[in-house]
Amino acid sequence: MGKYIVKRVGSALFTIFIAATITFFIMNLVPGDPFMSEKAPSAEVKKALELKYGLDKPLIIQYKNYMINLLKGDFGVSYKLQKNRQIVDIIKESFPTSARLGAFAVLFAVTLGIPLGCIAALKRNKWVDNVIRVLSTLGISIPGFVIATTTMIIFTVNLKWLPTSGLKGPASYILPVFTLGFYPMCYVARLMRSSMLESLSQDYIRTAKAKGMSSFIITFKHALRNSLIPVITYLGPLIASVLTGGFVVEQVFNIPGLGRYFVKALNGRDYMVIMGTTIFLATLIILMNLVCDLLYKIVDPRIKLGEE
Amino acid sequence: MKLQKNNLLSMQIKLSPEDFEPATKQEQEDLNKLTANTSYWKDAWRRLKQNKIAMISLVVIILFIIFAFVGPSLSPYTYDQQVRGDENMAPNLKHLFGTDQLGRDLLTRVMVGSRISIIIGVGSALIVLIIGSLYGSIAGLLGGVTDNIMMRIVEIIYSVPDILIIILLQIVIKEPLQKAFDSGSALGWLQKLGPGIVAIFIVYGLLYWVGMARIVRGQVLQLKQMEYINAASALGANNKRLILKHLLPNCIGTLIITTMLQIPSAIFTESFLSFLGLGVSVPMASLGSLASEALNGVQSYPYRLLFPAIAISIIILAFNLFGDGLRDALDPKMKK
Repeated sequence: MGKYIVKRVGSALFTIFIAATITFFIMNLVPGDPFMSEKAPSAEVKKALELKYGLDKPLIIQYKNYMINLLKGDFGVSYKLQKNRQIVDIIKESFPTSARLGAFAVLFAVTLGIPLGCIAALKRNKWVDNVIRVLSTLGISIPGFVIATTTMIIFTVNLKWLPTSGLKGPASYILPVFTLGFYPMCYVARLMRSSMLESLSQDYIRTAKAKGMSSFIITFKHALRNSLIPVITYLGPLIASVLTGGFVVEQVFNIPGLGRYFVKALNGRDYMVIMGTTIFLATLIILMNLVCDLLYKIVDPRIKLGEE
Repeated sequence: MKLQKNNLLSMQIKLSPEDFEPATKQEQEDLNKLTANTSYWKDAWRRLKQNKIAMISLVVIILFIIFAFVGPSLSPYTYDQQVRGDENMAPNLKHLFGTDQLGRDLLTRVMVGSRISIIIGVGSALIVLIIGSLYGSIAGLLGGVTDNIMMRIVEIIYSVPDILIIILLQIVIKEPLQKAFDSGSALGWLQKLGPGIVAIFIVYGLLYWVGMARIVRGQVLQLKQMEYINAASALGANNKRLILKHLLPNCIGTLIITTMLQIPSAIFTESFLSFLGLGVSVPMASLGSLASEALNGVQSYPYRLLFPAIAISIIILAFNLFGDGLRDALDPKMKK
């Protein structure tokens, strides 16, 4: 187990390094430099800026400096939207909002998706199952922005039940959390249904039934616990999808989170912010995947990954 | 026909000339029916036909393709034509889906947008199919160190969060592509598609093939143990022949299913990118960019958002359901 953890942590760190490297070099493929696309500064100003940010040095030196700064937790400064502001400060200010929203969305997806999947599996081919299946297939087919904008039109513009934008008070959380959590909820329900069906067809369930165990214990103790394993493996991608889904939801509902800031930086081509945010989010996603992998391993001792 | 014997213990049978008459047409047909081969495809098609949801989805997909590819030429407007005096119209008989603030007919724009979305879906799926299946089968067949290195690369690409890298690439690739297109140095048929779509194809070609490569490698690892592969290589078939003639044709079910399910996921991703303002470039429209444009005036003109949103949901849903049905029909594991 110890060896496995070390190996997984090592490979996660390596992946983070690769992600940061890819990000750095992709961003440096951009023709011109970060200051060019706006109104061209005078030659002297440009020179001073280049000197300040070390942009006159060869790319490989810039890369080395950038990576060393990253290790120190320095993501550089914004060149455009919020001139000279530390990107770390921007992340510190806006990420907690996104994280809170994301945590609620994950909670929503899991607490609703698992029971729905279970019910569908237990009532296989009954009308309840059909309804859940249709709904969850719909849910994974409708893009997030469609759900976000439609619910916004219905509940804030037409019915005026909920506030339109921002995050003030619990009512304003309802729509963003719902739209952010809807896709993963449906995904979890589908996953749960199929893994529950598989568990229910196993021999040990038949044995338990033959022993005369109550269906309550069979369902909750034997079938449910084993069918939760695939859901745990999906937790990593789930968190990633909630974080990136936040780009759209925060945009539509005008929530001052990291996602909205990232989209602003994308449209304003604020390259340092784009680079910093991407590396930050990528690191977060990779670490979450690592945690899920380790959790997976603890929950299911049959899995012998990486110990060949 | 009654068999007559000379006596009880004898093996001899008395035959009369009638016994040698040719079989009638009816008898022949019955025999053919009994021994007829049901090929893999016939069998799959029979199962697919029984799946009502899949068949309905197939019809919807076909109708949508007609809507997207034939529709624009039937429409009296073009997607970028600005009709003076018709700005900001609600849906009416002249403009069934209404018009936008520039007086462009929304129905035509939704048709063209659907076409772009379908092209992106199918094109990306084909790119993924080609790269992924070749990469996966080469890794699986060669095995050993080559396989190890190749799959390590796949693993790294797999674990880097793809959507973030896609966004980055999209920003970076689009501008130089735009320049290349403006100067007319791009290839003829690529010129028609526009830089936004080509950028998406490149991104898919770089990132999304890894899932396919993994699946194909898994299949090839199983298949290469089979005797016919042994026989083929004993007869002197080289690796290229083994992959193209023996291994890939035998993974065809998996290839079709994975490719089919890639289509909606590509459309999904494109709409996400377009919504963030990173997809196709104006005046071209995809369903995602139409929805994104509509967001500004959504309080006064909700229908502008509604039509592209419904269209994209239907396309993705139909492809998803059809892909599911196809999986049930083609997956040999489900065979009774």
